[in-house]
Amino acid sequence: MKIATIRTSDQVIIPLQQHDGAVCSSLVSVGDTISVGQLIGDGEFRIHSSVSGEVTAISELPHPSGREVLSVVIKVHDGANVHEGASEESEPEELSTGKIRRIIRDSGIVEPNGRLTLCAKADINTIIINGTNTDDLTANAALMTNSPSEIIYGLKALMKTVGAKKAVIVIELGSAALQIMRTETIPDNNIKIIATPTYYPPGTENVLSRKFAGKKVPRGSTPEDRGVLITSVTAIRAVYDALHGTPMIKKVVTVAGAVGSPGNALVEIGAPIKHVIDECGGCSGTPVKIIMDGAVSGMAQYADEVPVIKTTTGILVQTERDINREPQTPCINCAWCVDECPIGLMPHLLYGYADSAQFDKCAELYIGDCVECGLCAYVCPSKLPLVQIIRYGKHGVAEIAAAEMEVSE
Amino acid sequence: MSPEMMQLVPPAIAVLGGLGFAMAAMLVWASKAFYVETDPLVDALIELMPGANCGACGFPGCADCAEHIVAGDVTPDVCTSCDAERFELIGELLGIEISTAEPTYPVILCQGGTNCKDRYDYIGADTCRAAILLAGTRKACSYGCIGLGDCVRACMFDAIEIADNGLPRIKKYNCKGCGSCVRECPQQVLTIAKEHGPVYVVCSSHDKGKYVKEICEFGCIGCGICKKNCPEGAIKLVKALAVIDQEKCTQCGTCIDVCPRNAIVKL
Repeated sequence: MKIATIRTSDQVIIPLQQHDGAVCSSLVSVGDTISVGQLIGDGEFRIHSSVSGEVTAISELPHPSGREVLSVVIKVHDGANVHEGASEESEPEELSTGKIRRIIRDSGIVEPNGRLTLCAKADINTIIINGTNTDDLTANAALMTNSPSEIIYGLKALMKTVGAKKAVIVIELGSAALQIMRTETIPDNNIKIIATPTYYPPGTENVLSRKFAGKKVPRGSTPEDRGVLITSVTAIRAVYDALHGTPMIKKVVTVAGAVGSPGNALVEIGAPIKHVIDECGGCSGTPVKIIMDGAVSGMAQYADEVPVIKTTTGILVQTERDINREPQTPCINCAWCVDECPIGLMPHLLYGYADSAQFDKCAELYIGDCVECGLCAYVCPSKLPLVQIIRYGKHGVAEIAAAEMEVSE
Repeated sequence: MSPEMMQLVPPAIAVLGGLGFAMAAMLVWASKAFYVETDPLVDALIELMPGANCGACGFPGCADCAEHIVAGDVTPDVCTSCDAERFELIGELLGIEISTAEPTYPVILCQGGTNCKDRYDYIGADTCRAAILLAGTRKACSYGCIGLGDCVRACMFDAIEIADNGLPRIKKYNCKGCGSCVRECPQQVLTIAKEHGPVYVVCSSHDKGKYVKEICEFGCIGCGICKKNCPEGAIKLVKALAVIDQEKCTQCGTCIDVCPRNAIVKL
């Protein structure tokens, strides 16, 4: 599986929010000349510039989440765009725990689900790497086939830092990466490769924890509380890069759907999706919908200037043929969504309560546990936009919580 | 029917009849023993109230409002759903004179709809409240009406509909001026106004004039011509949007004539 390297965009837009949490504060101002790898945002985690160039604007710009987020716009200077990382080559065993921990924290590694699990301070026993592919996004498999030794290096370093005894890499059956990773890990008994049938959604943390570490995660707690650290191939690859001096400034993104040459590409964080699509052969046919991430769980974008961020795993271009414009009809309480929900929620009830703005009821039904995998909306015979409304419900619950906080203060 | 079965009929009638009688007696007793004293005036008033439970008066329903009216907490004119005829009947009942205010209607402070460009092709939930979470709104103007009809669903009197121009239209013969739609609108482009007289800037956009001109045919560009021409000095500019001070406005109509964008109307 090939990972294409694409030309750097003339202009990159780096949003100062790239994870689930607060917007970072900008460390640069308009007119500054910055170099690749330079720290430009700090807060709960760090954001580095992926290119060398001049800051032309810092303003609210379209963000993959559908909102407008404070972003740094950088006009790229020609040439000199290679990050010179530290050249020292040392085995993970030789590095000190504190040093690895600091490097990981400072290089701004974000999981595709928006969490910062690598910075967790809990007592970790097992590390699970989710190497399965979401939908038709093959970035994980491509990373593993292309750089197996780097991933094992990153994993060993991480195991040492968090003190984990075991590690599990979950790979789909039939994936090309399976054999390669198995060969790579033969000498190590602590790292196990588990082949799993294809299922969806593969990244659900509590499901992974239960299936592959035997630890059930109760409501309201994270897998880290139970001694299980769940991470992704992307993050582990970023750990390797971080230990070699490069912060998280590039990402392997799957470009799929109606494009000239679909496949995986190594993209700078902040490259507009229009640029990425053009570099991958451009759209074949008239694009009607551009979706960030998978076809089922992804979010349709309203502008093609939206940048690739640290949580982006794929870009999917759809033409009119792929789009369902069937009208919505009322919920018939068939409960297909209940059968499909991997978390065990009641999506049809959440839909009803959120739609009628009864957010207290939504909270009672654990709306916050929803991972927005999109299965409920996919199976719904009434074509209801369940995920959108559940997202609205989450927003409402959060607003109520914020208002209560204000009152109590 | 066989004779054996015929024999069963009289005892069955006796048993069921007796049971019915006993139950009826119990109900009669219960209605006397557990009788709740209510004010006959309140009961009579509830009969006269419109019964829409719209909540415009600030009470949960008409019955609650009636109790407060009889208790003297509020005057009957808090009710916006009553028409003059009904007020007269209520006035007769309570023995007071009720000054009936001029009816009020919601005004849509947006002329966008199909006159305003779309930001993107929206496929999703038909709810304004959920749709505004996605990139501002589906309209290029993030202040204007989205036209997905939250106000239509909020209306208890079927007095509002989404017209062909993509904007809500008030059906005045049904509207009671209760303000449910105003409270529901997430974009806050609805307001309550008196039927005749007031002059309104029917735009809510605080965007810069150049952008408004690009995306909307009628939007206020904040040029300030109305402000300069107003003889009463009742217009001020708030973040590139003309706002009329209704206290000072004499409804002379000068601003309507001078507005280059046709963004000011007299209702």
